[in-house]
Amino acid sequence: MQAIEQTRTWCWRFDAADLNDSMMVVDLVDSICVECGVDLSRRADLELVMTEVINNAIDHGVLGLDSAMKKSPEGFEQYFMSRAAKLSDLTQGYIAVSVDQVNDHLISVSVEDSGRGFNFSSNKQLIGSHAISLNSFGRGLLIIKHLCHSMTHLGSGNCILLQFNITSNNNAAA
Amino acid sequence: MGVTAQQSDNGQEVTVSVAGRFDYRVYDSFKASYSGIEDDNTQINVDLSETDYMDSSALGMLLMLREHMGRAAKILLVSPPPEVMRVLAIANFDKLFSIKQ
Repeated sequence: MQAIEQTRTWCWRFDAADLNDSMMVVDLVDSICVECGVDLSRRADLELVMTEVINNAIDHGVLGLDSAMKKSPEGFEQYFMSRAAKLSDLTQGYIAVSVDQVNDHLISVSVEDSGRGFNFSSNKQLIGSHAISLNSFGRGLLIIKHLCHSMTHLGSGNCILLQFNITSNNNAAA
Repeated sequence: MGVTAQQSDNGQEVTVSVAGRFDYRVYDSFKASYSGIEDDNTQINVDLSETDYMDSSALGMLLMLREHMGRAAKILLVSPPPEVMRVLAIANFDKLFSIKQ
């Protein structure tokens, strides 16, 4: 994992072998914290957000797993097992992360995966629904939306753009 | 660190403790902690007091536990620290499960 620094922009690319590394997200978050001067009090939220984003990119992008599998308990189990098996056999696919420092308080994070994307307009309705927690999916996006200043899907849905507040006084972004 | 399970002396309760990270990585041990319980009346206490991180994969595992025990099962989430409580609240899990602070 190597960060390439441009003017206040940092890029990372994770290939198949990197994605099976359980420390990948923690290492990435450490790098972002150092490069962008993320306040210590915001680190836990950033780690949670990045975990959810990267897991979504791996599961639904690179591995092409369908959340609908998780509707039944058996399906849920199958989903977890299939994820682990597919991930350890993975030979292609990538996730590209780029981070821009917008200003002293905000960073912009883009996460793009090699998958075919998803219909994000239907997910928008899902997030707006009060019954969301009873669904077996969408909770990751709900957490991301709640902890970020903004969240936008781009392209065919294979790219997500986030703005995240890196200062301790995050009331403006809440 | 990790998941441990302990049955109460009267056999009516099982306490599953998740220490450290509650995510994909403890999937196998979390599932193993309750899969042998056959009595639907057993109360499950999920002790989160030593949990320092939880994400949506853990929320999924809690739902899996609920499905396994049946909708009417008594499942109590015990002593979640503020960071963990916040994740539960974002997903409205405070309305799905009983939480003992």
